[in-house]
Amino acid sequence: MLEINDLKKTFENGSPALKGVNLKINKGEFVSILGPSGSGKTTLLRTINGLENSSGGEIYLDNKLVDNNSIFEVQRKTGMIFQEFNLVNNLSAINNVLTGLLNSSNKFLSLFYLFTKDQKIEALKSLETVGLLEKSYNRSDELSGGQRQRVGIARAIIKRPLLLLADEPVASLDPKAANLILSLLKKINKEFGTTILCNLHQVDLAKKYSDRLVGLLDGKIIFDEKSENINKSNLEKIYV
Amino acid sequence: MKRNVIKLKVDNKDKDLATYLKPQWSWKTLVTIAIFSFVLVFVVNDLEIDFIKLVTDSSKYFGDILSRMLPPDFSNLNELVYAMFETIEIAFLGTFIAIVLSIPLGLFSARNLAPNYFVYLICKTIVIFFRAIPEFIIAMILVIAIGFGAMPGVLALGLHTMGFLAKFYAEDIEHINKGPIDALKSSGATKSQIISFGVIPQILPSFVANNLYILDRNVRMATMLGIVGAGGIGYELQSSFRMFEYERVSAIIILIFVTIFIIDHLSAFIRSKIK
Repeated sequence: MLEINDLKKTFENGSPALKGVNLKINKGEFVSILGPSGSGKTTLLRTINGLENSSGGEIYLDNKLVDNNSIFEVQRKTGMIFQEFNLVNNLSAINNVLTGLLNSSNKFLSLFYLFTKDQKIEALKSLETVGLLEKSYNRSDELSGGQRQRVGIARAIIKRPLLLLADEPVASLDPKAANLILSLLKKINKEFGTTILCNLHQVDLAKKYSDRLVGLLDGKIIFDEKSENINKSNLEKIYV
Repeated sequence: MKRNVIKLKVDNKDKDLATYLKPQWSWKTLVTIAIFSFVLVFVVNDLEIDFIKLVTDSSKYFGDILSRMLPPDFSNLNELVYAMFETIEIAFLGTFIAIVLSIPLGLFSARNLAPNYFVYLICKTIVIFFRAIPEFIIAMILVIAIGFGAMPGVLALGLHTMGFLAKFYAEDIEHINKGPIDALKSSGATKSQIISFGVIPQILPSFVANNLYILDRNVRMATMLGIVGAGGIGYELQSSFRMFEYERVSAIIILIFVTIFIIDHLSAFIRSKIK
């Protein structure tokens, strides 16, 4: 499903973020990446869907090489959710969700916020999945943090992605909202079979919701274990 | 939530969801667009603006004046460059006066910094007054009062753009991040300490950017002030027009353009260095 071989990334100022990452993720898995700030978690996710260019190595999504020619297709097959939600604040929730379909919309009519009825129904379905149907026409800045992240999830799943990339989706939320968001991701993972790759800071949440835990430190993977096999010494490697 | 999970499984779900749909363009937006279009059409009609005539008739005369402006006559370049330099000096001094006068005015016409409502109202009124009167009119009055030369130009620019700058500063101050102010208050800082540590560092980048913008604007305006006798290249422009020396007019326009071009790039460079 997703195969990453010897992925390297060095930023323009010369600081290395990824130093040869190898990772294989199977269809339908929920994988969490743990690691301290600055370990390269965010860069890893952003390289997969083309928000950053890699400096070396290969990424295969659905058996196809991710490169400049395939990036449009990759972005159609992947959804992303962000730590700070990254909604357009003065658009309604439904218009934010519809932006998830811009890739496959009429390139002219969409400039004027015009979408087909089917697309709008899909947007309502996504909002219903995240439990926000009643808030469809509220402006995003009228919603709470947890609700905004749910709109972010609706935007990511409206195109029915094969892979959902979640970059610290709960770091800006309170514990209750964090649990709600992660159980929502788990539900999407189980019901739609969407593969999920999620950056997390909280070990307990990662163990509770994911099938596999990957530890990233200083741009290298230092453990890759099933959640139930994870032990203290693994975790001490990253957080001590 | 009116809809529940069980209802999700029902077959006519899509039809049901469709009742939630609203038009992408609300009636408020459509009415606004309609009203604006109506006003636009009304104004164009009321001013008797005929776009077709503009294109057909006026293009003839436009071609005529353009041909008389060419080639530009740079024969008295020395004089022109000197007048341009005087214009830049007028703008520079005018901007300096504007900055000095607008700092206290700006501080006290910000709602969150004014010591009381009375001071706020007085400062705000002064700011609006000088912004409302174009520098041309201020310059005309000053030329009558103190005579021809650079002085009325400098004062006119200084007073008018003082109003601008004070408004810019006040708006920046009203929109600063309140977090650091709370932190300073909690450590027992006085009001003036709060201004020096919490307000000034936050508005400094836009302070510089605004001042440079006003300098740029004042150079452009100063090129015109000579027309009312307030010094600089505007006087040359005016006399060339009066003598029908259109080749000189185009030379002056080119000189103004080159000056503004240089200043624009210079101020963009300075702004990029200040964060």
